Amino acid sequence: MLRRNFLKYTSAVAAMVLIPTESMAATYTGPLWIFVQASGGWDPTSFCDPKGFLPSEVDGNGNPTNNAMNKSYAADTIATSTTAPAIKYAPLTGSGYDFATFFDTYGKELLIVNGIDTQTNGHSAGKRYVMSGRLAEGYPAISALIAGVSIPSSPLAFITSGGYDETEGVVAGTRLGDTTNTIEELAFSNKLSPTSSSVYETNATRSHVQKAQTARLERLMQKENMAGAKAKLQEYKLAHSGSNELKKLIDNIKPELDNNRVYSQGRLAMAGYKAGLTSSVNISSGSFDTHSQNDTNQARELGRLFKGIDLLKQEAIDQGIAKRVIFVVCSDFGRTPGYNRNNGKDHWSVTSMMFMGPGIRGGRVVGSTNSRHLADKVNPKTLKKDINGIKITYAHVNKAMRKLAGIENEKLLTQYYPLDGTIEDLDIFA
Amino acid sequence: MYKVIFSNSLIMASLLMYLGCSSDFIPNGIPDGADAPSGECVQDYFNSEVSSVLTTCVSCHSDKGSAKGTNLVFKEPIASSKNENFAILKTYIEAEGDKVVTKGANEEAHNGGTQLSGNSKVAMQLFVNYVNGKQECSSASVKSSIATSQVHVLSAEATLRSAAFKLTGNAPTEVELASVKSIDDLDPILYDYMETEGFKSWLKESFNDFLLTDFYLDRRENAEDLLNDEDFPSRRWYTDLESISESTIRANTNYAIAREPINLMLHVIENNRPYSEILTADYVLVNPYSARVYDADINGFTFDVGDFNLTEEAMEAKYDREALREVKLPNIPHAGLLSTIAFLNRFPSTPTNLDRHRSAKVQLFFLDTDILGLANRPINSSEVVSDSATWTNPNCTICHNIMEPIASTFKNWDEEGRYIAGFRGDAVQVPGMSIEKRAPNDASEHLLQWLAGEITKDDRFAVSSVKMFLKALTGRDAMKEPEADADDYLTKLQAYNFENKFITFTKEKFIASNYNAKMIIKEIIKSPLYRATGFDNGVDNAILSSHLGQAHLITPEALNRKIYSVMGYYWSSRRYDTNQNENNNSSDHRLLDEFKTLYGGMDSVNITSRKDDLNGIMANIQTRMALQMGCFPTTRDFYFAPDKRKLFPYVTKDLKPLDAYSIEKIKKNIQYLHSHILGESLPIDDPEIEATYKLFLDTYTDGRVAVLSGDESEYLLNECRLDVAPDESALEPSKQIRKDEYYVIRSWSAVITYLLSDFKFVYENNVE
Repeated sequence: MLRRNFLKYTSAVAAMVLIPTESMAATYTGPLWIFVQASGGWDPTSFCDPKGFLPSEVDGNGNPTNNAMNKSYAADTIATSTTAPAIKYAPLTGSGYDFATFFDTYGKELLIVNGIDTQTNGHSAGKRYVMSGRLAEGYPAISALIAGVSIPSSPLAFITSGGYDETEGVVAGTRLGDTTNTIEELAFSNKLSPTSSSVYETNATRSHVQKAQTARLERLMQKENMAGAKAKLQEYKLAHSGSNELKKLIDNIKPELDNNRVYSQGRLAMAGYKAGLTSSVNISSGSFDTHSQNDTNQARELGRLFKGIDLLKQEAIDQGIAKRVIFVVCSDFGRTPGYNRNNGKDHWSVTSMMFMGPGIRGGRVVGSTNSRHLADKVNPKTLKKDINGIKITYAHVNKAMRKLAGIENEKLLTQYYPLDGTIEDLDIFA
Repeated sequence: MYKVIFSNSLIMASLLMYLGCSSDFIPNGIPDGADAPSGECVQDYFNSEVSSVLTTCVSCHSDKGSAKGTNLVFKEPIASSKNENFAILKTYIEAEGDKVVTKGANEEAHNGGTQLSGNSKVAMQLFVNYVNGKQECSSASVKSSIATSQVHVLSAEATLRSAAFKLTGNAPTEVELASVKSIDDLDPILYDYMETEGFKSWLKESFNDFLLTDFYLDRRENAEDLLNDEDFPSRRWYTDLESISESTIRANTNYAIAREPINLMLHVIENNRPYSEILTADYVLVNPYSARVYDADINGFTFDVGDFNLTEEAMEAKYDREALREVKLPNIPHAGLLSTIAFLNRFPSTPTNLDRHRSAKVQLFFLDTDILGLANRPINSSEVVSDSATWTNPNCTICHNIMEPIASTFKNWDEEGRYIAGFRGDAVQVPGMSIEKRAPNDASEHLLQWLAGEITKDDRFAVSSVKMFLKALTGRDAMKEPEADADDYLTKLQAYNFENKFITFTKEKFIASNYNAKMIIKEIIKSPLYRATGFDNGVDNAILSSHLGQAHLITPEALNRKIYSVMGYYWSSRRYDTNQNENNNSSDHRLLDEFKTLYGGMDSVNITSRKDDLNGIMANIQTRMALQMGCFPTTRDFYFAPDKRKLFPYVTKDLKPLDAYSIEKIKKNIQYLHSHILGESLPIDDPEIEATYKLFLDTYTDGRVAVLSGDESEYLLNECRLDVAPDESALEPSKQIRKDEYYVIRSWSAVITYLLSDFKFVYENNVE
């Protein structure tokens, strides 16, 4: 019945019944969640679940055949993180970035979950499932839920540059773009320019206008009958009441060091976080749908992705927030064992995820796959391989992330966006 | 004031006689509650609760499935085969009792394993009980339909105001408003609106929202370079010639090729051709520049290379890039937009994708079928490892059986959109509309043409056309039929049924009009889907309440037009320009440039969907816009004679609120502004007029004191002054507007800022 009552407010305004209607001074002190979504379906065997090619998978000319799991490296060259012996990785370089830099530098912090059964190999469904914990439509991304619970009234609570970023109204997602000049102008919207002392309206006039706007909005809200329009009026009110907070963001933006897309998008979120305005960000990265030339294209995109995370880790240190940033790195699904005739790999419903940050015990690998990248079952208590166990799914991971974020018992989740009750509680992060 | 649609003509006639008013709110022939699904309770229950459960059954229990030899074989597609499947299942239950439940739940050995559980099992068991008479079917088990008469809607006049801004970017004229007595009076006016330039702009944006072919505009990637140079050796015809105008010529060439699909859609609508021609056209549209790419030498139309040294202005005057001609290219089997180079490259294929991406898009856009949506059910990776899984495993065939035949109709076009008969050789599946409906052998070299003919004959083409325009007009997708195990299934189904009857009604009118797309636009605008403002007491459907009517942020492109319509001046990054021609330069319009994606717009490259949720950044954009438009553009309006002004026809720039006459004039102007900017028809003593007057008065009072005390300048900000005329001619000092010693202009600026940042200005809405 709670669900039914909730629906009276419509799915478009889910959180509006629970969140404040006025913007509040920023108070967020929890961790910053950075979700990096490798768009198109990455190939885990090209980095964190390495297989390589076997001697038996080489043709007469010494070249790996299409049946090989990876043509770009041999199984006996698989590398081990120098800082975390449990972590194995593909010995590759992409976009000028050596994967060893990433896995050696961050191995101790890194948790890898291999052998995740994505239960789909469709792009839309995969993106949705990994971020919402549900294969079907209708649930917000966990990044939106975290922001919606933590600081729903902040105008920059949830910054997104794509990927699955459905909010279902629990919070407003914000596209920031890359231009800080534009943000500066908007932060000081009544000034002729951010550095000018002249204003369009005096304080007295501005006050009269804003007072009149507030009163008018209340009158409109009183008159409106349709739930959809009510939600939009509420959204308008909330967005405008927090619009002055942008100035705080400006104060925390550091000069850009690189044009890496992952880094560019994440650094603005870090500035927002530093200002107490942002709790989560979605970053969409790359073109991982490698139906042709899998190895070249995966290495290129993965190199960019790892470099971007590396730069963000450095930015976090510079901002003094290194121990308060959680990275979740994921993709739609995995790629097929073996190659198609165009040296590509098609869609495959087994994949991996990577995590770093506070509350996450690093230097570990949870889950596994067999030699042909089929997911092994794990014991739900010990997380060790167990033929009588269960397969890890995105729903399990989502449940664990809810717990890590401390939002699993929030009314918004338990009443409106509960996960299937049969999903086991896996202690992935401890 | 709410108006109510009454559908029953007798009730309506009686009511009108009683009320003594005209029939200003009855759209002709609009469906009512009586058209909603009815009939036997058991059949209703099947339609609402059981039919969608069969979605999981048909992967085997259909005439192509592995259970085709059993005595339970359903018809596909499920959604449109309810009557047949009701009869099939009823017959089966009458013969086999509750076996459908015990086998479906795998309680009795079932080759397909467990297919019924939870709600779906309960629904099936209840249906069995109804059929067998173990339980009596009552209406309580089926959610009743909502009648049209229970939905309150915008008045005809308010609907016209809304439609005018939507379709033309302008407010309706007083003459138009006065001519509207009933909702059907809108018909001729809407048809007039659909002849305007504003309508074309809106259509282009709406079409690009799904085709995304504007990716090739702005020379991100030259569209002419997509063409094969062997097939089209003149694709870069302009590079052989020395000219200062080359860049313009190149841009105009690129423009036409990038816009081929969208221009075709516009061309068909503008000329009142059957909308099906967007797929069946056996020509491509060229402009004077792209004609040369295709070596289509049309006398007097195709750009003459002898004109290369014309000035840019003279060139564009002589060869309008918007001018279009139909051209049939030799050796190319045109199939409307499907065979355009922009479409084929925006939705490319690969040697392993085998045109499946193209198939999925064709079905999504034109056959009301979301193949990716079919992937929402879990698959088991260990079951799909064999080479033949795509064709044999139900996990795969649920999508691939639908996807492959249409994918194979693209077999004569390569990955880059070049026509090469037989390119794909033997396609993996026989080309066709479906596995059952195969293309004839004699269509082998013009399969897309054959496909276009089949699609446009299919009822789903008309449905998808209606849904496309519904999205364009209301900013939201049509509701999907809920799955049987969806939360609040009955509420969703009731909402879906309500909307679907209008979609069906509009589809039928569309077909009857010989596929005139303007019919769809007109009917949706007149329907509760667009006009709803509330419900009768007792109607309680949160899904419907959140979907009906208009409640969405105006797109940056439409807001740009609306600002110009009410202010006579665009929001431009060149704020100090007085020259109207300069201001008309769209490359400087802030909502089309630096703020476009920040304000929720798309770039058709990285950002390919619109964002409708207002956030803090977007709120600041609204504020910035209102403040800047309240500055120079507001001052500027006082330059014109009162009857030429957009904003201040009833006041002067120094009319102070000091006496009854002046106050009356000021209030009259405020009343005008509420109508002009917000579309509100308010009496002069309305509280909203009083509230706005108070804002004017408070600003004036404080400002006047500040000027007198020397705390404020008696001059306007430099940026807000008018020093030269809008045609850039010099102004004598007495006609310049630099001073505001009485603070009247700045008080009006405050009013303009207030109104331009109002919810009703920046949102499409039905708030009355």
